[in-house]
Amino acid sequence: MGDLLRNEGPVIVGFVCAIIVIANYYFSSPVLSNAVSSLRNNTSLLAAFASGLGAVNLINVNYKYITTRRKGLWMIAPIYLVLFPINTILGIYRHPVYDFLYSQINMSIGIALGAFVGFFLVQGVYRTLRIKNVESLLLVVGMFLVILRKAPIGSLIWSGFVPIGDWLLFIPVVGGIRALIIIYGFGIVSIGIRTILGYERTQFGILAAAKEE
Amino acid sequence: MFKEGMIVNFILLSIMTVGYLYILQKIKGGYLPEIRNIPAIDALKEYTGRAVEMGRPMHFTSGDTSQDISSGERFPNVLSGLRIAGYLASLCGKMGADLICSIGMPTILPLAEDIVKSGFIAAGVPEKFTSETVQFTGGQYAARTIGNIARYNIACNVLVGDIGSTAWTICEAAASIGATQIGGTPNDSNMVVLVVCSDYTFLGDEQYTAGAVISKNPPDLASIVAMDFFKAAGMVLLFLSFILLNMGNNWIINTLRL
Repeated sequence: MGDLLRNEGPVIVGFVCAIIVIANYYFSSPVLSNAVSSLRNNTSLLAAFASGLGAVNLINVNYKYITTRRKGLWMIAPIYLVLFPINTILGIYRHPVYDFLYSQINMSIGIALGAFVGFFLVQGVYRTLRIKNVESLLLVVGMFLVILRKAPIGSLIWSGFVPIGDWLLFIPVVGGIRALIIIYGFGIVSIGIRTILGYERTQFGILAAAKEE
Repeated sequence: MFKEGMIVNFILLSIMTVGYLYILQKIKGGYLPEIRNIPAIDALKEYTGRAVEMGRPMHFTSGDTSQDISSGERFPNVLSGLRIAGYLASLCGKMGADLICSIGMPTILPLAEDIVKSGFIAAGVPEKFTSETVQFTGGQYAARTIGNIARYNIACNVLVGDIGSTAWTICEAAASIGATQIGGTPNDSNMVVLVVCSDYTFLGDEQYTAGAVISKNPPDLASIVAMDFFKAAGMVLLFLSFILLNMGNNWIINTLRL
């Protein structure tokens, strides 16, 4: 009975929840919409608890860096372990120091990383420009046509770059992306059906990896 | 009773479900469909072997924190990514490579831990899973992930799941230390980045079918066959709609909107 509950219990709960949400998507009923709203609230509650698990994971990882004297990390890890409780307490009381730490350190790191994207993009484009086969040649030609469409010098060199670039962007590219979106749609439906019928159990952390490979 | 415009939608979903169950019964009855190999899955094996030879770990990430998973449509993307993480863990366990997973969403952290752990257990090396294997990145997902990539000096970076705008940053950080890359995301604007940056990519629905190709379980195989059948039906419907619309007939479009 215990094994049955442990293995099949989550599947049954998942099935019932999925049926309620799907029914609410197709049928108009105040009972269903109330049930779905309640389920969504519970999901947010569970997500909040999961944040706590994330914090525990970070503490574990940093603690291990210290205990194993991991090269290059064991000296940084204590900073996290000290700042974490301080920041949590300051955050609970909305202390101005918390706002300072968030806006002046956390946000600054985020913005700095955002700024890196420009450099990474140039680096990526440089690697892409190396023509290794016919596909990469086509990619480079297409890229230059689209760049010349957008760059002011393009229309100065030849007015035909703009319509060619427009055609590339709005006909083949849009067609290709839409085809992919349709295919993704089928993929999502396929996973959805498998999940609802209880054949997909990855979402419960049950990989059945023993069967794989 | 039905919401407006939902009747045909509901009928189509019902047909797909019945079709899936029918194909599943056929497969259970002995019908074995031929499934093509996905190059990115073969590359996972090859790159894990390379990581062992180099004495450097593999790295996996399934996406960032910009939108919480409980919002809905991103869940299948992350789920399919985690399935590949489980397979990667079993490969690493069997071949003797280390694995580091950077997880950006706290909601999937326990799932990722369980899945990666079961991958190592399946390979017979549960001790390979340590508290360092699956790491939560916190709010600064990109910073922590590129930090992990650099600190552990990874041999191969596997980004499969719901990869967002951080794709460039992570891919280039890994490329700068000479790591090979395998990418995959159904996120249409960032998929292009992964195609450009990665050595192998899970293209189109390959990410969803990868788990099935690996496991070859009847329910998974049935979903591949059913999906292919529905894709063919969808193409026929698109083609017919195109012809009829050009003849001034909106019948298919109007029917689908019922």
